[in-house]
Formats: sequence, C-alpha cells, structure tokens
Amino acid sequence: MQVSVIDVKNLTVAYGTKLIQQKLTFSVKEKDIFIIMGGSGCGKSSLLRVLMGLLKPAEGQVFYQGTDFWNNEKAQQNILRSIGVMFQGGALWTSRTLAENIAIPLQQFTTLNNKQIYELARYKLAQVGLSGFEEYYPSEISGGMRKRAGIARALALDPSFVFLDEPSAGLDPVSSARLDELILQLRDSLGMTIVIVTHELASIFAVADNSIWLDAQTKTMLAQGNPHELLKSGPLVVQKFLNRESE
Amino acid sequence: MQALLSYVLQGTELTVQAQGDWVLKNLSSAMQKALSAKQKEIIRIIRSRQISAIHLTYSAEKEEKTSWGSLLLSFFCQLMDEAKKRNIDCDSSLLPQQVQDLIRVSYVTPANTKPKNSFNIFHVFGSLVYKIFHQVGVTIDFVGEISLAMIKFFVGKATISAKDVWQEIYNASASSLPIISLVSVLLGLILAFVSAVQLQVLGAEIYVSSLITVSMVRVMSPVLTGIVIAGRIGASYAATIGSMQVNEEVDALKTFGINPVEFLVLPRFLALSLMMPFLTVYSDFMGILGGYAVIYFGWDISFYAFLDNIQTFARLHQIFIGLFHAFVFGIIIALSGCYQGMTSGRDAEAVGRATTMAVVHSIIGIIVSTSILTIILSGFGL
Repeated sequence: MQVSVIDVKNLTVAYGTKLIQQKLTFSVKEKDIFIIMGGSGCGKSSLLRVLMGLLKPAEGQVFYQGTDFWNNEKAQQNILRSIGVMFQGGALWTSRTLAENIAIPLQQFTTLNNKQIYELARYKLAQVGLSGFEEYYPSEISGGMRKRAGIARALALDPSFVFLDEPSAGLDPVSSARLDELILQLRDSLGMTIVIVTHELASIFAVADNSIWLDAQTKTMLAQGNPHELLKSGPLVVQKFLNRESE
Repeated sequence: MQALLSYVLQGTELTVQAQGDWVLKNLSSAMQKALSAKQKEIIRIIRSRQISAIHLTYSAEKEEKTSWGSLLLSFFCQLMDEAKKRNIDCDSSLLPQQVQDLIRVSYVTPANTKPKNSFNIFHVFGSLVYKIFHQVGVTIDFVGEISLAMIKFFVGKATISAKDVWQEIYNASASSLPIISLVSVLLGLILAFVSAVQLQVLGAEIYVSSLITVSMVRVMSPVLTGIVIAGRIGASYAATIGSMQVNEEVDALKTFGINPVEFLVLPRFLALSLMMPFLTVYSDFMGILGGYAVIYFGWDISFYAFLDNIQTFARLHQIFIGLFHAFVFGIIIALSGCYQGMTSGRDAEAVGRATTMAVVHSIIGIIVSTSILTIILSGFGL
C-alpha cells in the first residue's frame, strides 16, 4: 500500500492581502505522479512555490513524510535537499555551461571528484536527450532544450521529490511525448514522487496517477482524483477542462 | 545494505558487480571516496588490459529495489562508452530491467557531435576584425537612427509620448537631486578646505570663494554630475532596455511597426540632454554652498566678502561653458545607456554586461569630451 509522503492541510496561499487559494487539503502518495491542474491564473504555480519552500503559506501546513515543513526550520534544509525543481523557463544559470549547471549542486552537497561530477552531469544530460551539449551555454540552445536541461539539473542530487512547473509547455509533440516517457521512467526506475503543474491534456492523461483541480473563481480546490476518473465523474467545469470544451 | 562495487577478472572477461543503496544522499563522504577509487580502478583495468567482454550486474535487497542512484547509472554508461571505444562487448542484460531502461534512455537521442569551438588563429583574427567593423557599423547606425528620430521629432512626426518624456525628465532630475546634493556639497567642502589651507600661507584665503566658484561652474560640477548620472541613470537605461530585449518587448514594438529608437530612446535622450544643464546649475549652487560653509566656519569670512570676491573674478561665460559641457555629457550618457540596452544580448548576464559597459563608456566619454572641449575652448581664448 502506498503511503502519503506530502500532506497539505488547510492551506491558504496569498500574496499579502491578495488571496490566491484557500483551504486546500490533499495528499501526494509515494511514487505518485501528481498533477496540479486548473485554468490560467488560478494559483497552480503559487501552490507549487509553497510546496517547494519559496512562498510561505498564509495559513495551513505542508508535511513532508510527517515533518511540518514551514514550522520546522531545522528540518527544512534536509527536506529541500530531497527536492528537485524545474522552473517554467528552465532557470538555468546563464554564465555557466549546461554541465556546470548540473555540477553546482553536486559540488556543494557531495564529495565526488570533478571527473565523477562531470560524468554524472553528462549522464543527466543524456537522460534528457542532451548528450554532447555539456559545454554549451544556456544562451546557445533552444527554449525546449533549456527546459530539458532544467529537468536534468532538477535530478542532479537524485531527489525523492521532483516538482516540474509546466515541463512540456512550448515543446514539440515528439519532445513532449519523450518527456512524458522520461517522467514515467523516473518514477518507475528511481522511485521518485513527482508533482507537475501543467495544462497539457495529453501529458496529464499519459502520466498522471492523481491530480487536483484548482478553481480561480472560488479560489478553492474543486476536485481531486485520477484525471481519467475526473473526466467521467468530476464536476462539470473539470470535465469541460479535461474535454477541452469552451465554457 | 551499503553500496559496494567489485569486479572479477576471468581471463579476458571482466564482470563488474554493484550492490546496495547507491542513492547519492544515502552515501557518506567516505563511501563516495571509496566508490570513486574503485571506479577509477575498473576503468584503469579496461584501459590497460586486453578485455574481450564486460558483464554488468547489480543486486540489492528487496526493500532497496530502486536504490540504484545516478552515480551507479552514470558509471555504467561510462563503462559502456569505454567498451564501445575499444570494441569490447558490454553485456547489460543481467541488470534489472529498470536499470536497463534508464541506461537505454540515455542513448535514445544521438549525441551532438558537432564540435563547439575549434581554435584557429585565422578564425580568431577574422572574428576580431569582423567584430570591430561590425561594432563601428552598429554604432554609426544607432547614431544615424537617433538623428533621424530627432529630425522626425522636430517636424512633429516621431512616435513619442509626452507622458514618457515627462516620466524620464522626472527620473533623470528630481529623483537624482538628493545624491547630487550630497556629492556636490562634499566636493565643495573638500575643494574649499584643501585650497584654503594652501592659500592661508599667502594670506589669500579670501580667494577660496572665486577658486571654488570658477572650478565648480566651469568643469567640476558638470563632470561630477555627469559621473553620478552615468552611474544612476545611464546604467538604468541600459538595464531597462536590455531587460526589454530579454522579454521580447522591443520585438513586440517592431511588429507593430513602432520604431523602438523613437519610442524608447528618444524620450530618454531628450530628457537627459535637457536636464543635465539644470542638474549642473543645482550642483554648482550646492558645491559653492559647501565651500562657503568651510571658509565661514574655518576662516570667519563673511558672506558679503565671499560674494564680492566671486563677483570680481568669476565670469558669466564660465557658467555657459559649464552648461555646454553638461549638455554634451547628457547626450553621451543617454546615447551610451540606450545603445548598450538596444544592443544587449538576451540573457541576464548580457544585461549585466550592458549595464556595466554603459557606465564605463559614459565615464570615458565624459573625460575624453572634457579634454577635447577644454582644448577647443582655450583655442578661442575662453
């Protein structure tokens, strides 16, 4: 039986007095691919920022394997080290090569020698289809490649939790499908728990085990469950979203 | 079960055996070093001995069934690459299916084999010459575009918003006053103090007032104001327009048929070239005030005597010379800041570089133009 590894309880996300989402309660199970869905501007990325420790919640708690992330400063660093994040645009360090981008966390948190670190970086880049691009700078590759390099960097420290913000947005269908395959493989072969914010319906149906749907109007979570089930029996607005129907 | 790496060499066949938990965060420093040494040893054997086949194996306890970390996977890939280079058979079929899948995915996309940089002296020299000519061309082009935009402005056909010009005037003037006040007063204080100490020897400390006034209004204030504005406003022009390049905002203007030079550069150019003389007058006043404070409190010279001395020695044309300097510096700073922004690259580092270059070029421009103007004006006996 799968155990919950991320538990969100009564969470309210806000920027100052501007409320984004409220009273969110859900769990992410170990080795699940969990999708955060919703219309534009509903607060998906903001919720992700709370989960990855970049935005303090206005209310509520986030538990990682039973540890309260926001109320346990000592544990925060350890939890953060087990998290890998890919930002929407890749967020690569532009003054470093792709290999150096991946090497930085490895240099900081391991005692591996430079050769091993380089081999690891090479392997991570090969995993995302960027073999041979180790010495390229982010400005020398395309947006899609930057995104994939961002995923490679997120995987640098073999994290237990991987957060991907719009991983397939802007990618061609073939690259997108390959990315879905990679995500499934990371879960199956490395046992990672993966949380994804995405709009891409094809990706959602291809990889999701579980999901939540955030509503911009009511600023709450309207549905939770497997997207295939939500398509059949979820709230109408969610069904429309998953069917790609207009209002 | 802790991570282990071992090998068995039977004849020409090498079997590499990995075991246990290889997840990076679970490996201690000592363990990482030990594994690293073993990896080196295995690679050395492949390189130094006659090997005909390599067999890769991995075993773990049940609860560790996904405990192969990237360190192990990258090592297996390294062994496979070494084997391929030496035409050695590498058998990975004994590895768990998931490990095989992870290794396979690394080879799905063919490696990029295009060499990135090949050193060639002719290429380096050619690129340098090209860059120089290209840079000169781009600069002339930019100055030409500004000139055309100015002509369009004067005939009332430029795409320019009055609101933008006022905003830039405010940014370049009112918001710069505090820092100009501080720097000018302090410069006046320093000049007055140093010169008063020297002139006191001759009993001529009263001349400090004319010395400060002439030096401030003619050259010190314009240069000082120019340097402050270059750091404050010139840099912000480069950073703002550079960031707009990164966000494709400049491209968005072009797609609407709006000339970015008229829309972005012209308001800044007009605002700064107009405001620099005013800022200089303000700086003159603050500098003289700072100088007066020193000689009033240090040497007890009255305000009347101070003004009288200024009236005797300072000439009106010196103020105009200072204002002309300021006008020229305004043009240099605006051109340099906007040029660096418009030609900036499209990443964070390029914007940083553009900002630095805007300040450096502005300051060099200020110093060089001051020298040239001084020579020209002394030719006219001014």
